[in-house]
Amino acid sequence: MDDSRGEILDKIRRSRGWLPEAKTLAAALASGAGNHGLTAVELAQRFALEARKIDAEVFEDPTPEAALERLLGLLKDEHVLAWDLDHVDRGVLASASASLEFGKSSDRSRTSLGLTGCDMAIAETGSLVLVAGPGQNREASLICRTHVALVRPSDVVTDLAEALARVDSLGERRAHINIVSGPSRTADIEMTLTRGVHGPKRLVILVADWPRLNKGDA
Amino acid sequence: MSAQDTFVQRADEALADHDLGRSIRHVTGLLDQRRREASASVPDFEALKDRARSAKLGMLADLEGNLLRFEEKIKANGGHVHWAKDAEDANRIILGILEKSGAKKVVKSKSMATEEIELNHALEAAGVTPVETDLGEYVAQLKGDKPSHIILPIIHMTRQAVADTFNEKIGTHASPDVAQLVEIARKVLRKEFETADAGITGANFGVVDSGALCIVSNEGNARFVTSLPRLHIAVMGIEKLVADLDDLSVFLRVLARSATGQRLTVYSNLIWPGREANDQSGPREAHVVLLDNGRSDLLNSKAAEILACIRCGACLNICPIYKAVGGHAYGGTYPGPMGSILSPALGAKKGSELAGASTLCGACKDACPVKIDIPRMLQYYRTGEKFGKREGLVKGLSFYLFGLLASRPRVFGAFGRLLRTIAPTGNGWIKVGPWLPFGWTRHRTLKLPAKKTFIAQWKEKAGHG
Repeated sequence: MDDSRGEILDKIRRSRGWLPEAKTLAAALASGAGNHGLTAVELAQRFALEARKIDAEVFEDPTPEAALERLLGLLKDEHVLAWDLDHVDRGVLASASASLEFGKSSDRSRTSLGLTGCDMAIAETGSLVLVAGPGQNREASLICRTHVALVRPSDVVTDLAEALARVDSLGERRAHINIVSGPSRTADIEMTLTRGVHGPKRLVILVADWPRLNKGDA
Repeated sequence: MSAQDTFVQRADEALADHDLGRSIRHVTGLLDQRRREASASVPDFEALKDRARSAKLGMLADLEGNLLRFEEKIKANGGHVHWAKDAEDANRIILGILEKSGAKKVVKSKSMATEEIELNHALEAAGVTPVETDLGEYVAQLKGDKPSHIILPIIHMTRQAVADTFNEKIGTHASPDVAQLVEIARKVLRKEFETADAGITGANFGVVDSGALCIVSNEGNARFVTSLPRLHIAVMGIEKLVADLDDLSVFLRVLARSATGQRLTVYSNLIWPGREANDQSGPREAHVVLLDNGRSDLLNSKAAEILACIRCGACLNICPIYKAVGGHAYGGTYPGPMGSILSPALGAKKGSELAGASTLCGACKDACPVKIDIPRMLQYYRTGEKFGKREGLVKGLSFYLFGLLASRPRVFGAFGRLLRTIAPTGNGWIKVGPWLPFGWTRHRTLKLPAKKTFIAQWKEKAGHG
């Protein structure tokens, strides 16, 4: 194995001169789309618009109370796998759903709805950035038929470049990050678009000024 | 599947299949149209492509240093790095890791690199069961078919063929209804994810400065493969590096737009191998296998530029040859224009005749998100160095003789006069070629030479005013 390493690196070192010159770019070309002077509210609206375009169901309720009511309606009769959220009181969640779990699902075949927040939301593409880690398991956004994500307008960033720049600042917290753009889809059979092949069939996004409670409050 | 051993034979077979032709034209046309629309929606997509190109060429210019930095980062994060010089080496390394962990069943997400090293054969030979989990790849695996497109592996199959495959191989009673077929795959593969001992993926990008892998998928299977099993192995070509997350954002933007016309792939997954301890819901162990398999030789050749390829498939969808014959005709792992450069260079070095499978129209270069000059490399391959000795000799000799003639006007004229006396002339068409005019007339007709040369006709007209 070490032999291969030496051999490969040696061959690379000996090769030279065949790559074409890269065009010298005048200034560092911006990787992102740019903000275009949008306010936070406008960014959040743009996010909602773009997320709808890629088949997410987005609701922008005017008050946190209205958003909570909508959320509890969605949870009714569902077996919920959730992140450890500060948006909503745990007791309220538990009373609304058929069952409520955190961390790993004890029975994946039964878990029907995943409830997450998001670390960032991207206005340009309508995407959610989900950082896996303590209290934020991977499975809630993956194994269920329905994924419900709670988004605050303050979560929204302009574009992918800005989101990834912020990912850099997470440092040691970075282990597994998902950028989710709409529900799972495939077009493998005759280019017929079908949702929910492996991941969630429905992605519901509730944008609101969610409160910041102490986590785990009962 | 085709057992023919030359491109021309396989292409003949594909051309005779009209259903196949119709479906390939339909799908590639749609994908190409979506790419155009998505490119047009970015204010300056050309500039974004320039940025991607310069980022990738910059990486390759110091590939040694970048690979070493990448390795160091992953090791510092607690991940394992392996180097494989060829397919055999890579398969040996992967089997070693699996054996050590006692893995018997492996789930895979779509990976061209593992196709290239024919990992599934090696796994099966060692008693390990590989399960492809990308819907198209899964169907192809069940049927025993090779993928025919790098983004949509089974564009050569109808929904009826998919239903027949499921009914025959996994005992379902499916009708040719796409939603129903997708639901069957979801159920069957979910069980596989949950019971697999290891997940094997490729990698779309390796991010040097943070030691991260980026894997994209629309279906979400790559997320399952990298999250549910206790062990994750990623096989990535040594050319897959990007400098940092800012460059990655550029590549993700051009990749999705060029591949399917999406702004971003549904799931863009960033994974830091070795950091699994941060996150109890992931695997416990992660390995990265860096695969050479001909890439370092390619770097030291006039076709080095092809290493900038990000496998979006845009050059397939726009290529008049690919659109006519589909992926299987190319015979190797990588079809289409990019494949005609990669297949003769990587691994088994198959398909030296593929440089001929092009009209050199240049559409692939225009469509390429990293502006790779594929036609230039195809021409280079055609010069004979890589094109196969016999073709090289015959073509070389023909052009040498032509050069002798064409640079001597009087000899050229005399030769023309000679041909006109012994060969038919006029307004008709040659439908069946004599021994000399090659295979041209097997699929085309050739216009008969005119009775008089252009110059003679010109002189007559000029003479009569």
